[in-house]
Amino acid sequence: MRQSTATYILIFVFLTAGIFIKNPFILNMVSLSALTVITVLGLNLLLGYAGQVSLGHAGFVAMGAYISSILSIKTGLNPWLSIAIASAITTVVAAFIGYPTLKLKGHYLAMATLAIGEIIYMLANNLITLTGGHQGLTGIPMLSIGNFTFDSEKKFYFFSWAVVLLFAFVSNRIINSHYGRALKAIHEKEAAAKSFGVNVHLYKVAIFSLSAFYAAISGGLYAFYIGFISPSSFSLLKSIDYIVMAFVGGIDSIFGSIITTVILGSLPNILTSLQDFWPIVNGGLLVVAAMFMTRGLGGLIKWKRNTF
Amino acid sequence: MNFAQGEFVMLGAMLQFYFLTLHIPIVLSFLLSSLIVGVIGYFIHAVFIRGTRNPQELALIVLTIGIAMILRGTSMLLFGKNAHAVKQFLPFDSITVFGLTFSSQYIVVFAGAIIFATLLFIYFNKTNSGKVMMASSNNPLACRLFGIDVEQVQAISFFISGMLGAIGGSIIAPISFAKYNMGLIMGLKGFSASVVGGFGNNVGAIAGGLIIGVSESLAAGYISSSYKDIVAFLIMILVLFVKPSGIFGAKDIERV
Repeated sequence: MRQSTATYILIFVFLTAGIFIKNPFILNMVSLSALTVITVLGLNLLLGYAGQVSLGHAGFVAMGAYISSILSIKTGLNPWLSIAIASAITTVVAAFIGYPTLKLKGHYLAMATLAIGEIIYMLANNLITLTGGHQGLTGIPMLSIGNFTFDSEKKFYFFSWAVVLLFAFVSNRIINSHYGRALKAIHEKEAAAKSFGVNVHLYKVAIFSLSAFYAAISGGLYAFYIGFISPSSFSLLKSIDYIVMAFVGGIDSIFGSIITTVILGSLPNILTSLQDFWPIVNGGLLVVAAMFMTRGLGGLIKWKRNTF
Repeated sequence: MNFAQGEFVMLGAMLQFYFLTLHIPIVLSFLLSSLIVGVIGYFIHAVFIRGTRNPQELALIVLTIGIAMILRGTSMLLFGKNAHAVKQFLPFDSITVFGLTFSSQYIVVFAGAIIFATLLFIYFNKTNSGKVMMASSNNPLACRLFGIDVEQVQAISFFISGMLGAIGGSIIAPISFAKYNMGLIMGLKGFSASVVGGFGNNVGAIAGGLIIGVSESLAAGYISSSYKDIVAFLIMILVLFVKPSGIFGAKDIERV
């Protein structure tokens, strides 16, 4: 089976499951996982196709969440429009960070994004008049289309997985376009890609900005769903969670990432008593994946290859 | 690049705190903690980095992030989430120079920085094994051709960086306290300093550290102490933009 087909089937399984799940706790948990999936899909593009790590994706999620909710609270802007504006701003900021750091090899992007993540986290904590500080921001309105408001767990569940479907589709289209093949070539052998006339630097900056865009959308939707945001939801540990999900799921596997994200996103909510062990578990998963299965869970399955 | 470097600093501070609670003399606990963390560094290289099947750059970065998480999580379980106060090295609490009173530990920090920077400078520039280490990081393939056991050199460099991290951690602990999550901010600050000064350049590292530290204090004094960390990171990003090789860096930094 082709991986893209398997991915769409998986998402449809989640969508139909929503009809039968009655428990609001589970619905809420899986919809939040769906929002995380969007961020992880973005990170997948960066890891798998630019071969780079971002340690600040929680910061981009935070930018999406804070900018959009501040816009719609203070100016009464339409939530959809404010999410769009917030995502645009985040994308530009990411391009700004990516431009110098992606010229350099290796760890520079990781460290610069780590710094950006920390800066955003500290701003969210300290700009109290705007963000409410560590007590958080409340009174964020709900999303609605016309007279239809996403005010129950069930409605948002279908909506969030529909958004996942949309983004998985976009990712798949990008991966299988000439643009995606160029990126794949960059990841395999940069010098070769260059000699075929691929503008390596531009492509890397673009894919990094796109992955920040995914994160910002996810953050915006999160803010308008929960109606309350505080800095603790966007700490560095979250960024590392995203890396674990994307890397263990498989850096170039959308299918694997969705599965690991739903599992790793839900387990801490079920096993709350083991909270203190999560950093060790996450670290252990990363170590095992990096040592023995660099292509992650999705790499274990033999997919039918796309013929170009 | 090792993302667990900051955690070595944290471990040094934590072990220093732990040994002092066991009433081990300060000098001995200092030596013990730096030695233990050095061995941990060596062990990380021997087991994890050598054991990696496909040692590509991305996998190694992710690997050291994972190791950092494990060290941090384990330290939280063993020593708790609180910040621990650590006793000063010198027998007197504070010292007054020109009417300014400050903790005696600052003397130790200052002296330690000078001593270890000098030692490192001598090691990398005057001794054979130091030169071999620089060479293996610059061009591992050429070194293998000359019959150098690059793996062994890397293992030693992990031992040294673990030990130096721990020395820094235990020296700074009386000022900053020992806390399970201090490693991240220490590692990031260290990275900022070496980016500002120029990666792989000892003089630059000291200059970068001074620039970052002084501008942080200025920001804390003139703007607000809650923004002081932001200043350090902003300077780093600015340097990456203007001169990615750092102020004292060589020109031949690897560019894409």
